[in-house]
Amino acid sequence: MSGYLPEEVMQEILLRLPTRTLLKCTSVCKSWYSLIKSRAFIADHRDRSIFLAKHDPVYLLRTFSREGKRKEIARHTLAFIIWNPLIKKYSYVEPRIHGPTYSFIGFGYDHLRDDYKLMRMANFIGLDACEKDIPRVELYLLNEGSWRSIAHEAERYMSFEILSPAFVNGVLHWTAFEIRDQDGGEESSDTYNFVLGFDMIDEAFCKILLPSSLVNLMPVFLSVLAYKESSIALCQTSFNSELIHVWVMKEYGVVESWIMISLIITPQVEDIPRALTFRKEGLLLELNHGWIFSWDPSRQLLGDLALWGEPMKTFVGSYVESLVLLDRANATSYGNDSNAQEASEAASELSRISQLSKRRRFPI
Amino acid sequence: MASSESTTTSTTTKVLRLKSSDNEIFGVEEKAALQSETIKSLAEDGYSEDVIPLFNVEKKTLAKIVEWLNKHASGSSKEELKRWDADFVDVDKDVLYDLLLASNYLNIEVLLHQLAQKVADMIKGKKPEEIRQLFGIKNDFTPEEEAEIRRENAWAFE
Repeated sequence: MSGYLPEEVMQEILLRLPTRTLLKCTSVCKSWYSLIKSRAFIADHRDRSIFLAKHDPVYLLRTFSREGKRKEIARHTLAFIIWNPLIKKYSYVEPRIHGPTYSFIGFGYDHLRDDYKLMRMANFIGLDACEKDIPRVELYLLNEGSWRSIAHEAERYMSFEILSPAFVNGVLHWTAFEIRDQDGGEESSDTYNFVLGFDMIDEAFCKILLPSSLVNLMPVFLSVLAYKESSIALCQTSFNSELIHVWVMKEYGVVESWIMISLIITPQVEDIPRALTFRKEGLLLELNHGWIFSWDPSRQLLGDLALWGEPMKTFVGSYVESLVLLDRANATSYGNDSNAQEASEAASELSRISQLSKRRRFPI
Repeated sequence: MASSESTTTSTTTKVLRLKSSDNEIFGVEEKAALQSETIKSLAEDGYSEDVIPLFNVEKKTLAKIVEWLNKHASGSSKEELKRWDADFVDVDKDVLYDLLLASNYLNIEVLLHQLAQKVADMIKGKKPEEIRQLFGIKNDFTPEEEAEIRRENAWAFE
């Protein structure tokens, strides 16, 4: 690197820049271009952002139609998009299993291999078939850019597509269930709930048992959320009910440590409240057919975020600024495409949520 | 080697002598000097009784570094240090680069981070041409290559 400063010092400086400035810096000279686009720099920059993230910011992804017009894009074709809105790039992932499937998916990170992985468990439609077929489990690795099949125990796990997984301790967690025949025979089969974990490093499943009162509930009423940095919580909801029970696994993996830490009384609700994410001071909830609220149980405060998304199609995750995907030659850049307006609006929505959390106006 | 100042305190305050590349010698209390990992390992290698030669740092820069080391070993409050540090890095570009190179060579992590942050703040909001000028970097892209990179992320240049 020519110039006044040696590369190691220059790297210390560049690591401190936001993603947008770094994109601009790729045009300064060839060595900056290679440095900023290198996997090692991208990882260091992300790790620094994680380290500095003080207020535990979140992103919120919602689906909504503009001006009453809804675009029917790829409605019947399953495809995956790995998207980094901060650098306006996405990578299109073609599924390997086609055909009508009932599947659930999760996205996580393998810190040993510094790789992002998309996990898909596919049962062929419909639920009857689930009972006969062993689900196929496949993993897409971002670094390799390809799928691979995962051998697993031939158990028949089921979950709901609307329940998004919680990624904690390198493990994806879903609420899942098995159907077990009762002693009385086939007519009295019962669901049996548990938390299904998929370890992104070992690429293996694990089961976490639930408190006995939750084992036979309708699984759709149970959502698993990340709790603080290293454990999980379950939100138990019900139809037209003002109550949400929050169960926390105080010690991750220890079944005896499940405790019900709060009983939340939400105002009059018209449908099933949906817990989106657990925050230090409370919850983000979807209430009344798609409206997003923050809830602070200690102050009994419900904050209307004035955000709406299509019911059951809003997702929240932890947010960290990064350049991930910048090193992917096949990632598509959409920042200059006017057709991508919707996507960029979603990105500005994201930054708005991030600012909300920075200002701490809401307990999110 | 008890120094005369040590009579006022019960323990001996050891002073390390640092020599700049242009042969100026600075006396720095050991506690302050050891914030530099480089000085620390030189001291451990047996230089501590003697003069520690710092071949890569000129006296004008070493004077500033010594000032920083002393301030950061003085037990000032966090708020005061923050104000003091902001003034310390508020210098012109050439001085800033000399300090960066010196803190990198001397391996003073806290100072290196402060200076890197200062320079990072200078980059923000600048155009690529201005950034090149700031660091004395030659544009080694062909016009076509540069246009292609700009086109890819045009929104970031707005």
